[in-house]
Amino acid sequence: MRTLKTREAAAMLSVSPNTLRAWERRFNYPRPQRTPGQHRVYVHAEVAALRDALQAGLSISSAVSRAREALSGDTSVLVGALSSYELDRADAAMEAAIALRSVERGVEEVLLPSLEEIAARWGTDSASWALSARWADGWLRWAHKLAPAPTRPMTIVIGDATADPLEPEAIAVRAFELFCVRSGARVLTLPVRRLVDVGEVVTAFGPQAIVLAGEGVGDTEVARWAYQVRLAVGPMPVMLYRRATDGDGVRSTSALPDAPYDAHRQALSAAEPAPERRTAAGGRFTRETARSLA
Amino acid sequence: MSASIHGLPSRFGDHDAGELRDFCGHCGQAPDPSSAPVGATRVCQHCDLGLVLQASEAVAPSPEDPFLVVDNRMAICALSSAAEKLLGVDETAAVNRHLGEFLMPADANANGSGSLIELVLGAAAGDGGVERVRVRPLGVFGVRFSARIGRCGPTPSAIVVLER
Ligand SMILES: [Zn+2]
Repeated sequence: MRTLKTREAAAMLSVSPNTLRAWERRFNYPRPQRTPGQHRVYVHAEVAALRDALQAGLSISSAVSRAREALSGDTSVLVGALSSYELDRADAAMEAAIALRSVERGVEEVLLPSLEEIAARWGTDSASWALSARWADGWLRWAHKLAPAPTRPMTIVIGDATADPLEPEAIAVRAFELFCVRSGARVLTLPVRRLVDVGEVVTAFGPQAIVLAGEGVGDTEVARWAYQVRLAVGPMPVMLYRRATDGDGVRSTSALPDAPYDAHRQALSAAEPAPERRTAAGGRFTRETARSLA
Repeated sequence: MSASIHGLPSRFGDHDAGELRDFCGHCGQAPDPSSAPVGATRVCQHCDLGLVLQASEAVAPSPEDPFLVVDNRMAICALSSAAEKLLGVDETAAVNRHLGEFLMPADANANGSGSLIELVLGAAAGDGGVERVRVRPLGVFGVRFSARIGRCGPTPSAIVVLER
C-alpha cells in the first residue's frame, strides 16, 4: 500500500498541511494513520480519490462523500462474492481492498461492513452467514500469521469470552487481535473457559494489560478467569471489548470502543509500560476489580 | 464570459444575469486577488473549508449570506457556514440530502408547492437570470425568507441565497 507523508498529501491536494489537519477534524477525511513514531501518513488512494472528487466538487463535504463512495466499491464486490459463495473472488476482493488501503482500513472499511451486510440480508443463523464468517475468520487469521514479529515491549492478554467463533462479535475480536499484533504488541488470546493452569501460562508472557472480549460467556465464569489471571500477574489495566457494561463503576469506565481500530489504539495506550498510567480506557485492575467481577 | 478573479474555467457559459463572481461555498468570501491563484482543487484560502464557486453578480452571495448549493437532483452539495447556523445543520450532515428536507415554499397558495423545485431545477439546468421565491425552514412556522435562486458553477448547479 502506498502512503504519503503529510507534506506530500497536502501538495497533491494543493493545500497546506494545516488545511489537511483542519479537514481531518471537520470531515474525518482523509484519515491518516500513525507511524510508530506517531507521524501522520495518508493512504495514497484516499488522497487521490479526494483530489479527483474536488475537481468537479461544489464543496469539500460533497467531494469527501464522493471519494468515500469511490473507495467503497470494494464492499459491494466482496458482498457479491460472499453472496454467491465464491470465496476465491472474496479473497481477490480483499486483496484489491488492501492494495488501496492498510490492512486495518481494509478490515474496517470493507471486510466488517461486508459481513454486516451479509448478516442483515440473511441473518446470522443462516448458512450463508456461517460461510461468510468462516471465510472472514480464516482471512483474519491468515493476516495475523503474516504480521511481523512483536516490536513493542508489551503483551496484551485477551480473555476470549465469545461463545462461537462464527458469531459477529468473534469476528470483531479477531480484527482487534490482528490490529494489536500488527502494531507490534504480543497478543495472547485464551478462552476464558479454560481455567486450569491459566496463571502459569499468563505468567510466562508477563502481560501489561488484559482485555475481556465478547459476551458469549457469563460474568461469573469471566470473573473466575480474570481472578486467576490477576492472582498470577498482579494489578494491571483491564478493559472490556464488545462486552456490555453492567452498570458497575469499574466495568463501565474500562469499555473499549466497538470499532477495532479505535479499540486497539486505546488498548495499546493503556498497556504502555508507564508505572502509574491510568487511561480512560483502562481502569486499574485491582483485587476490588476482581471482586466486583466475581 | 467569465470575469472571475481567478479565471476559473467557466463551464456554464455566458450568463444573462451579469458578470460572474467567485466566492467560497463555505464562508462566502471572494478569493483574495493579491494571493496566489487557487490550485486545481479551488480550496478557499480564507477558511480552508470551502471550494471557490461562481455565480452571476446578481445572485452571488455576500460573505454573511446564508446559502445552499443544490444539484439537478435537488441534492444539497454545499451549505454556507451562515446557512449551517440558520438551519441548525452541519454541511457534512446535509450533503446529498434533498433540499425539501430543509426548505419549503412559504406561500404554497401564491407560488404553488412546485415552484421552489421548478426554479431550482431550472437554474441547475442552466436557466439564466435570477428568480425569487418565499421559503421557510421545514417544520418552522412564522419564519420566512426571500430566496434568490440562480445558476452556480463551475459544475452546473443552483444557488439558493436566503435573504433575511
Ligand atoms: Zn472560505
